[in-house]
Amino acid sequence: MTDEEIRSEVTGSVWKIQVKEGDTVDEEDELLILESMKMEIPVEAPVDGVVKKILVQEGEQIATDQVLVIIESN
Amino acid sequence: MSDENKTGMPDLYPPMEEMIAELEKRREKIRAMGGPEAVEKQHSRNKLTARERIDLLFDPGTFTEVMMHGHHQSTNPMMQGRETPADGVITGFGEINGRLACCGAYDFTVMAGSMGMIGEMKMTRLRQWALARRVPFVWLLDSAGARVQEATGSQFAGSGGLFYEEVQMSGVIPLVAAVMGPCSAGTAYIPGLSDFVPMVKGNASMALAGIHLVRAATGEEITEEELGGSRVHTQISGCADIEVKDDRECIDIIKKYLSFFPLHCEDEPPRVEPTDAPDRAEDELVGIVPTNPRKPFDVRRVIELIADDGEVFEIKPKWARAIVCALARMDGYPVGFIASQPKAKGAVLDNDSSDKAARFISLCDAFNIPLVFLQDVPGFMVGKAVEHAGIIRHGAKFIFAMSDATVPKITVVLRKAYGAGYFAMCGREFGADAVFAWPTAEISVMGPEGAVNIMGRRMIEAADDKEAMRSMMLAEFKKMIDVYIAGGWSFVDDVIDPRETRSKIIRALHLARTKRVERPRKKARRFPGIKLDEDGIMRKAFSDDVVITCAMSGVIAGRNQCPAIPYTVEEYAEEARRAFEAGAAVLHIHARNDDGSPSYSPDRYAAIADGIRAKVPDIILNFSTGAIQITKEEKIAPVIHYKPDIAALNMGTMNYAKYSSKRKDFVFEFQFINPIFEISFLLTKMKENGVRAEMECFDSGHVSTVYPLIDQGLLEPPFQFSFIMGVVGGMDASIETMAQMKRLAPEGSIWEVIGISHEQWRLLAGALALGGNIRVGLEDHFYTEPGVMASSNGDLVAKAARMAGDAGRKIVQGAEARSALGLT
Repeated sequence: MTDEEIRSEVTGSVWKIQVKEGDTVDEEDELLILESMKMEIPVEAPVDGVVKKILVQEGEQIATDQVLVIIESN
Repeated sequence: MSDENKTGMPDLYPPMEEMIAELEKRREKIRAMGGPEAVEKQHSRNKLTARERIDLLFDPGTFTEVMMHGHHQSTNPMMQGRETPADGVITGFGEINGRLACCGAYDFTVMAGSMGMIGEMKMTRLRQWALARRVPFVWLLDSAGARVQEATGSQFAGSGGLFYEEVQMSGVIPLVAAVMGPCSAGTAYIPGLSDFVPMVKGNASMALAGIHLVRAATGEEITEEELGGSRVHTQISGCADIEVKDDRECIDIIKKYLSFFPLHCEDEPPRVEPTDAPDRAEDELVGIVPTNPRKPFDVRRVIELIADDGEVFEIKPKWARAIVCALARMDGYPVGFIASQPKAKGAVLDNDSSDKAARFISLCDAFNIPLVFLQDVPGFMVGKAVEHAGIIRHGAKFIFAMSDATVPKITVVLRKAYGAGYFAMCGREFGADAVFAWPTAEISVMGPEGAVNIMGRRMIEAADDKEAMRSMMLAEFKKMIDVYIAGGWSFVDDVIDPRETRSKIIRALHLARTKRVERPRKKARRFPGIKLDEDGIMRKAFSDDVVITCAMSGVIAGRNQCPAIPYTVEEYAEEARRAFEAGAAVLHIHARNDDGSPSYSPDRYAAIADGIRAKVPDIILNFSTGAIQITKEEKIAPVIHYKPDIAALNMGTMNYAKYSSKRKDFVFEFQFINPIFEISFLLTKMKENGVRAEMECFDSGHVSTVYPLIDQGLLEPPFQFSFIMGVVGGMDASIETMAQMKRLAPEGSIWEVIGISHEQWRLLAGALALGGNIRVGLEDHFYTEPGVMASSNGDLVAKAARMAGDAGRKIVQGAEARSALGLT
């Protein structure tokens, strides 16, 4: 089991968080939706695992490469 | 003479059977590669051997290995006693799905696939073959890099030519570099410079410096996989295209990739018989794109619904995912899709997605694969991070490659098309052959929200109900970017039902198939590392260089009409010297006997040619094959016997006459019979003997006859034409017709004009202006001006040379003329 840091690929804000800590997720499940350039940008789980930590809140401004979520992969 | 061994010494001349047995023994040893232990080790790493990989890649029984007997020749003490079967790289050619390709496979069982001097000599020769024969080149890489046991010190200064050669090959023939094992140090530039790079998960790695060097240089501790494994290069760096699970999948994907490509850049991509109706309409397209431009969707599904049989071959699927680059087929023809991917980064363009698109576009353009752009693009990313990383520089590559591409380009605006994103994704003004828009399309310098925030800021701030004002302004702006406004200005070619997308694209591609784009000549494309300069043939078509041919004698006119016509070998040689000194580069030879009668004897042709060559060694020789009343075998016999540089080939049957308006009668008329079977026969013989065909065309149909011959593979570029103008029964002697003939010939053809009688001089002026070569000589016309008969062929060539110089053309001879004619 390893921790996977899910980072933002864009500068923008957090629009919606779709999971909560402790949730089990599959690869390609939507974790949260960011907003940038007036677009909704979904962030997907890159691996199967469990949501270990959510580091942002809805409405929060975020920078490129900022860690959003940590997933403990199976 | 057979030698009998009477001395009791070992037999110097053993019987053939023994020698064949020896050959077989050697072959067997070489095929065993590094020996059973090394092979076993290779298998235990979940790797196939180089020979097993080759067997999978090529159609059964078609691989022809060459240079298998090569092995190291090093005198370096570290190489003493070492055996290197095939010197660690298996080289050869064969058929992949019935089409030729060359392949070099590094053999890890022989000194870790290291690159030795002999192995690299083999590879150099194979690369040259592939380029000269115009077939794809495949590297199967599994190599520790340079063989340090052989290379010493400053010899490095003389190495690296393989990369230079690879760049010359790039854009001419498809290049595939499969990384199936290590590929470290400079070797990594082999995939770096090639078109398509699959990497085998777990075994493949590439890095400019391996982990030990990295540790020594920077102190960084890292594993090979983390430094340059398949995941790194297919997801982070973008240096490789596709990660595959094992060797078998790797070979399959190479075959699939090549199936979309022609053998070389002057060939058309192969069409497959379509099994999918061109007007297939998919209802799923109606709901697939949310009408709210903020909402994401997966554009890969849109491509699947549009493309033939839903088959899509994505390039770099896991890197720079905001743009999808994929090969697919439309009505059987290969096409390249470049599609905005709203599911990733909202399809906002950034540095990596620009690089990805630019490289893919130039790849498709190089190999005549049309492009289809699917737009849903909010623009290029904004902000400090991307500006500092040079988004203008990267975005420019995308816009450059797309604008530079001359293949058919079809654009479909699915939804948003904002700002420079609309430009880069092939907006109307970028040479788009058709622009279609879905009803959801919004083409605008920016999106409504951005526009209202900037332009309406003061009005919103001044309003009592700011939100109501904002909503109203948004609604107003939305009306301004309605698709029917762009449609009303005819800036889009049609607004279409999403279900019609497939059929509209196919129809537009059908129209664009005959597209020709002529551009101002450039010395080089200023685009980094992706595509070659215009190839040689293209350059010649617009070159200032002019080649003058002199037709010294013909066989019809005699000394009674013009005393300078040569008959004897000495006279031919003397006339050749005069013509050459005046500027002629090529001599067109009809042989005559000493009494002036025509000769078709190979020996006579050879005697005349030798006589000429003795006097003017730099001359290029062109033998006639045009004669009546002799067989096709007789026509070609002197060509086969002497193998001149060029031979004339008459391209069609026709009436051949001369008319006198004074006498109200024909001076002569006969039928000049050149049936297609005979043309094919002569062409086959010329090809077999390495003689260039100079295709003599008297009418437009003669030019068009080349296309089936090209299709049959009898004719290969460069194509060389002569347009003979002004014969009654053939084309008229006008510049308009000359331009039309030039247009009918395949693009980039070399051509000259032959004018018969007094019209010759103004036809030559026309040819000089249109970029053609010219021919003069006593065979065509005796007079330099009305009433002034030439005293030799030199007089005629001198006048032609003067005209060429006055027209700004540069007269070339010798090696320069060979280069201008594409003779090797």
